[in-house]
Amino acid sequence: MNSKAKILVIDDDPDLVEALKIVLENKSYRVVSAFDGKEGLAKVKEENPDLIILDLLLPKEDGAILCWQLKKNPRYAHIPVLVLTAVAEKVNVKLFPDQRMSTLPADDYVDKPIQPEDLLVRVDRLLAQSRKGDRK
Amino acid sequence: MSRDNHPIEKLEQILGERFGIEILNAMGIAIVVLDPNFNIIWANREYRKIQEKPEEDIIGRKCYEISFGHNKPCTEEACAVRRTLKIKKNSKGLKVIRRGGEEKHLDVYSFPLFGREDTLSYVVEVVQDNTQLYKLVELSDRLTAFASHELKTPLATIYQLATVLRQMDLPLQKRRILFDRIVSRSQHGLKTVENFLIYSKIKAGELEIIPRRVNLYKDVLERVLDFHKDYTLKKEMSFVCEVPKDLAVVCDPDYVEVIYNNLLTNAIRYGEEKTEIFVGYSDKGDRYHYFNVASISEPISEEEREAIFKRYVTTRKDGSGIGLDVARELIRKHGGRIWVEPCYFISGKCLPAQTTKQKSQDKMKSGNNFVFTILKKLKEI
Repeated sequence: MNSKAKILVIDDDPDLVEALKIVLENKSYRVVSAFDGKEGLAKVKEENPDLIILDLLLPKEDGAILCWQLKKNPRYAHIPVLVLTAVAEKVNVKLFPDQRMSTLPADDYVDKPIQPEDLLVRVDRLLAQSRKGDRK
Repeated sequence: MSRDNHPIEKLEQILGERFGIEILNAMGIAIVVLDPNFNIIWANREYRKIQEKPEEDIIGRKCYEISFGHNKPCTEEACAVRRTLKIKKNSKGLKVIRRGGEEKHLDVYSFPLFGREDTLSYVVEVVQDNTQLYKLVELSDRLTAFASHELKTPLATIYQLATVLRQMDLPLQKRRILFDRIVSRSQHGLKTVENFLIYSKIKAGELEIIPRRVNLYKDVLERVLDFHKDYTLKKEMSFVCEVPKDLAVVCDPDYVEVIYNNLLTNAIRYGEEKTEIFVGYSDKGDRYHYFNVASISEPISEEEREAIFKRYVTTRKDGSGIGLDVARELIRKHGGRIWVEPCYFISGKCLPAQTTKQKSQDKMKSGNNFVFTILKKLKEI
C-alpha cells in the first residue's frame, strides 16, 4: 500500500506546492514541503521521505545539483526523484539519455502544468518500483 | 554624368569651398573619403568625434588603423569599403568599435567615386553612429523577455491551480483554498502588469504624479499590508509597522502604493522564513520624510547596492529587475531618493549597521534596509 507514503515536494512556488499537496493528500499521501534547494536537502535528512518531487529552478541550491547530490549519496540514492519540468528549463538541463550532455539522474519527469492523474500514476509507479528494489 | 561635371571634381569643388565644408562638418553623419589603399584623405567633424581623434591623427592614416588599431585591412565580409573597392558599387555594413570602454555601433554606407578613365579613385564612407538605437533595441528585447518571464510565472501557476480544480473532485474546503490562491495570484499578476505600464510611461516621459494630502497609513499602507498578508503567512512572516497612524503626507498615494508594493514584494521574496518585516518612518527634522522597509535576509553586497536600482538588474534569478527601478523613478518624482543599507535586528528593532558594535553584530540577525525619502513640501495639485 502506498497510501501512507511520505512525499517531499521541493518547489519555490508556494501555490504550486499547495496544488500538489492537495492532489497528493487527496490520495492519502503524507506531504512535506521545502521552498529552496538548501531547505530541500535538510528536509530529506530530517523527514526521510519515500519519494521526492523536485523542481529544477530553485533558489539557494539548484534542483539539478540537488538531484545529483542525492543520487551520489548512498544514504539517499534509493529515494525516487520525480523532476518537475517546464519548457524553459528543458533548454538548460539535459534530461534524457539521447541528449548529448550528461543526463540528470532523476527517476522520472513530469511536465508543468501537471495533470493530476498523470502525477498520481507516476508517483504510484515510482513507489512500487522503489518497494520492489527494497525487497531484493 | 558628363566628363565636364565629374563627381570627384564636383566633390573636390565642394570640399574646397569653405561653405561646403562647413555643411559637411555640421552634419550629424560622419563622412570620410578614402583612396583605394584605405588611406583617409578627408574626414568631417562627426567622423573625428566618433573616432575620438583630432584631424592630424586621422588624415593620411589607414582606416583600419584608426577604427580598430589593425595593421591590415578587415575582411571583405566585415568591410563595406573593401567590398565597394572590389565590386565598384555601393555597399553597406555594420562596424562595432570600442571607444573609452564603450562599444559604438556604426552603420556604414560606402560609395565609389570614379576618375577620368573610369577607374575607381576614391571611396566615400558615410558612417551613422546608431549606438543609442542599438541600445534601445537591446533594451526593448530584454524588456520583452523580462515581461514574458514575469507574467509567465503567475499565469502558469494560475493554470496549474485551475487544472487541479477542474480535474479533481475535491471537498469544498480544498476548493476554496485553490480559489483563494487563484485570486491572490491573479492580483499579483496584475501588479506586475501595472509595474510594466508605469515603466513604459517613465520611458516615454509621460509619468506625472498628482500629489495630495493623505493619511499615509490609512490611505496607503493599510491596504498594501493587507494585500501582502497572504504571502507573509505562507512564509510564516509578519509585519511590524511603525509608521504613525496619523501621519499626513503630501504624495501621489497610488504611486506610493506601487513603491511599497515593490519593496514589500522583495522583502517577502528574499526575507528569511518565520521572521519579521519592518515598515518604519522617521522625521529627522529636515526637508524629507524618511520611510523604510527592512527584512532579515542575505545581505546585499556593497558592489550590488547601487546596481540593484538599475533596470533589469537583479541579484536573484527569480527577480525581474524592474521593481526597484520603477520605485526609484516614482520616488524621484516625489523629490526623494532611495538606497539600501545593511542592518541588524534585535528585540523587535531594526538598527542600521553603522550604529551597532561589531561585537554585538555577531549575535544579531542581519538584513537589508531599504530607505526612501519624500519631499515634505510637495505642491498639492
